[in-house]
Amino acid sequence: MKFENSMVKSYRSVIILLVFILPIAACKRKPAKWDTNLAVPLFKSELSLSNIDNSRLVNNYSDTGYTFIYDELIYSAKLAQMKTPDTSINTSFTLARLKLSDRSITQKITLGDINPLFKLLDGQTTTVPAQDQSDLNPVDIDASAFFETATLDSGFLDISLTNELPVVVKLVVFELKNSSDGSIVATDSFTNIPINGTVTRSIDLANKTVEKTLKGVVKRLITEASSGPVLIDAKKGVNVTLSVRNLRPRSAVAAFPDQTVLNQNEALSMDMGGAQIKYFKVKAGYLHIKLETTIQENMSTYFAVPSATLNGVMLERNLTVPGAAPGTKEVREEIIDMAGYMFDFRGKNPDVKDTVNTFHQILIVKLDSSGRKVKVTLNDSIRILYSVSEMVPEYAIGYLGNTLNKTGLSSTAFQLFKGLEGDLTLKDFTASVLLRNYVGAEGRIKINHMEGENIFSGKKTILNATPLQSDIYIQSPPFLKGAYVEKKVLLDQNNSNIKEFVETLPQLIHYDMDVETNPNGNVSNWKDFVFDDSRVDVFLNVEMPIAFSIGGLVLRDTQAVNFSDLGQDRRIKSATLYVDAENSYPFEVGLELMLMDANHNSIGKLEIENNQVVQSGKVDAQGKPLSSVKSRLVIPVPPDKMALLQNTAFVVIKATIKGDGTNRKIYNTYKLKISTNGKFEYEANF
Amino acid sequence: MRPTFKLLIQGTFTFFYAASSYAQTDSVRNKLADSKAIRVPTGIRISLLSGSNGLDQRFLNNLVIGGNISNKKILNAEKNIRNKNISGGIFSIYAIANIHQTSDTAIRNKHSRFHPAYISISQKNIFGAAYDKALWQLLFRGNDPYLGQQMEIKNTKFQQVTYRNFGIGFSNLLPIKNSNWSTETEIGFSQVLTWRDLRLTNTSVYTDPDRNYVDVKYNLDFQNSGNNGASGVGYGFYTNWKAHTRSKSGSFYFIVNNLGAANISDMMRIQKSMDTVVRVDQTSIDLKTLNSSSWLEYFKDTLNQELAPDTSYTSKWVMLPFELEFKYFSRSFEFDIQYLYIKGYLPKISVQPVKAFVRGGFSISPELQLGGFDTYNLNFYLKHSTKNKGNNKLRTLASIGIYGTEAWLLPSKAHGAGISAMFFYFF
Repeated sequence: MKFENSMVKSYRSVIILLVFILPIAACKRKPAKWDTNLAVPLFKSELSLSNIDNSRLVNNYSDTGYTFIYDELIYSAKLAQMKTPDTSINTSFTLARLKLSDRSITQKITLGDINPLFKLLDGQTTTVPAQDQSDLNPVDIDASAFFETATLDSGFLDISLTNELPVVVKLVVFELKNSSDGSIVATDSFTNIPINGTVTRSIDLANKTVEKTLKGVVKRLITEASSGPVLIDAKKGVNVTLSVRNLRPRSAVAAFPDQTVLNQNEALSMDMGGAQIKYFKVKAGYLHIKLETTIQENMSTYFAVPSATLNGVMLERNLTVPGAAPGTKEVREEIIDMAGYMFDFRGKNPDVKDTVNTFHQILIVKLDSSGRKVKVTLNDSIRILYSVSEMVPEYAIGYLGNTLNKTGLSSTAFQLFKGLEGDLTLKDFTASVLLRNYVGAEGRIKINHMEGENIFSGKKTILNATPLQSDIYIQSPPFLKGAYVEKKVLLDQNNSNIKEFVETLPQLIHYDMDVETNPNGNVSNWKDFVFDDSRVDVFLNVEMPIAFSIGGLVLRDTQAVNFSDLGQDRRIKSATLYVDAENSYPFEVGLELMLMDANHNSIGKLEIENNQVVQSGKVDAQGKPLSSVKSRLVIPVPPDKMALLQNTAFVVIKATIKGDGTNRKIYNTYKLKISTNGKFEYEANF
Repeated sequence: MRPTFKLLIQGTFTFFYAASSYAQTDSVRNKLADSKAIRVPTGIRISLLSGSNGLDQRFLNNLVIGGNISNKKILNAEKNIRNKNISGGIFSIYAIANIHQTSDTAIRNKHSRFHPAYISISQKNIFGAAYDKALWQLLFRGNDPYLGQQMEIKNTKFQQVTYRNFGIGFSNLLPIKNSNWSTETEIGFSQVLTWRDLRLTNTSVYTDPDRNYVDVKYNLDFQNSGNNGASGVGYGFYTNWKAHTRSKSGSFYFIVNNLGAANISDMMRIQKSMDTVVRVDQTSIDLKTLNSSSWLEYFKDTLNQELAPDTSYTSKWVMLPFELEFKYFSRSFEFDIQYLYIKGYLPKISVQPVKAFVRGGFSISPELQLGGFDTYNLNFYLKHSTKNKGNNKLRTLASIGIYGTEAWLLPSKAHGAGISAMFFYFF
């Protein structure tokens, strides 16, 4: 009893234990969190005139000043693009073109065969009585020289009987049968065959099946008596000659002779989209030849394009196709890379007839007899495909045709003043419209309209220029890849309002132009040419010394950014960016940073503390650089701005350049060095 | 949440510092010490303490309990921190249930076939660290406040272990004949919930005053089991063993707790060895193509290339944080020396008078402790006990302990505090 009480108490104690333990053990400690400040070096950069394309900068001054040359491509057109559509020839033929050889075999029916009695009289001289025999023993005739078997659509069997007997053969009724089934191939009567004479009968084999194993049967033989005693030669008799000719089998198992099944030798024309081309140098393209056959005999194909040469060697190919296995198709093909080939498009025989867009090609297909007996039926066929595709010219020579290209009202970006707005006075600059013709043909350009637009201020200025009011003609360049002829139309304040146009600081140029090739027709006499990159380019060219005065100029640039890594880490609570600038340019620069979302909507901006600016560098009285000045811009990014960064896809950097209004040159020694670091408030935990 | 409520919640776990195996009042302790066999109670003991030789208690509490640590606390803690520091904390729950108690006759006759037996469940979460001041500063303040200063970390050790034990214990399992020695043995199964060990040596960080670059060098060996929730990350076995004897002067206890090992099946090891300093510099970019993703990516690539450590995974056997303890009870005082196998822990000495302020069943005992994770601590225990009517044997024993009273009174200056509680019932 005491023991039982003890056990009950023990179990109770275990339950009490679990009631206490489990809830307490389940308690979890939450992490401890605190904020740390991390100093992180970010990026550095340097901006000087050497960062601009050196081809645009010309040092024209005896000191280190610069002239800035800027060309903007307004319009470019490949006016004479060659169209070389894919061209193909596809031909096929069937058994109907095939033929079997004409052949002959000879079988002798001897005197002994006619009447065994003559065998006894062999060598004797005696008078031969008239004979009248019927159903002589059949003679086996082996016609395997013709074929194994053939069912013929048409053809003829000539049976010639030659009388070697010493008597006249008055009548022979001759029957020719297939040994296997006894079907009659031919039966005919031959009459009055003189001594040593021959009589021939032609049997039409149309719709007949002839096998190689035949039996010749003399159904009736009537001979006259000899005119006197004659020498009996039992080995002599009647020679039966069987000749087949003009056989056109419907199906046959036979040894087909060598034969040409296709023979083409002709000119082929290509559509060049209006151009009349004499010569065409291939930059890229392919010639594809494909031969498919079900015929069980070997074939060979000869293909040649005499008009296409590579280093003086004509394009030609031989393609061999073995006989197809029964029930299958044999395919052979070859793809020829045409790069480098020169096509003469003057036709098959330019000495006789000089034409355009036409080349000479030859295609011959032959059956090569192997001597094997192969089966051919009307279902068998041969298909030949050859095609020219993806042809791109390196150059083409001919007459490019007369084409007029109207741009209509179009627009293009003008990068020189990208992001610029404000008050900029330019002095001593020159501008021109520059035309460059790479196309080997005369050209005419007419600029109907040109207008510059500053997208920030909205200001538009139409270019009014006397030299642009009439057509501009341009000649063909020399025949050399990359060569061009340039025509420069100078614009100045005497002949245009170019100064006003440029001082608009346009970011967009709107234009309307006509560009015509061969305005006067085929004056070159088919000596126009075009390379693969030939085109007509129209530039707006501005040259200015880099010495200008700035009242206040605003530069804008939009940079795509990806702050998702920063933004997604919620433990970065805030930041402070330190931008240390060392500036030797004689201008003060203020910065604004605007944040935009993926749709270019403004969502906020990062303020510069106390509106600090990048201080101007020090220059001497002549404006030459003395020393750079350091500035520090502090950009706080508080917690609410950190949240904005997550949604920021673009940062618009607006730099306001403040000058003192005096005209200053820009020297190559000027530099703006930027060094950016950050202090980040970061939440650590344990 | 108000501090008083916090204290109340802390107080609901009544804590008792894990160094002592059973809560004992002076008289009760002595009575038990006289007994030949140790009576096994049923009850629970919970304790939470933190300690440091430099960090103040307010900061330590926040770190141990969790939650947001304010900048004010961090700055205040920095004033007290030393060049070489130790810190640590222990949270433990121990519960024991009597499943069989030997009768008094058997105890007297020493011929019982059955020995007192019990089952126990415990969970401990321990962390300990020995570290340089510079590491604490970099960790809790970052490198920005120390621009232009060379921050050196010569030798830092850190360890954190959370484990659960499920055991069964026997008293006098192997009785020593004709002697006054009695023993208690517990064996059990151990489940490790987390195990982390870090060593950082020969490390330095220098940040340019203009933040243009940061020079870094470090040597790291970090092992981390990860956390797999309730199913644990490793399993093993442990044993507790206690031997007790008496002499004319008093009673002696020799105790080994939690001696064992566990296998962590998937231990991650991160190692890096650097002889030379790496300079993390600004990225050179073209202003015309300023794009954050390009230099961010470059920045990350540079850090990865130059500073990323090597990571490997392996199965590993680890020692559990065992305890070694020696206790001595005399008629006038109790002396205890204890060592815990955890990084940063120094041997701890405790002295407590036997005579305490007693009234009714209540008593208040003071205790002086030196060492552990701390320098010194002044503790007080409020105890209550009841006895069986008839045989006058101990029936219930309860205790609430305040550890590090000076830190409770001056949390922003003193360091090392805790509370404990226990309740036991003797059937």
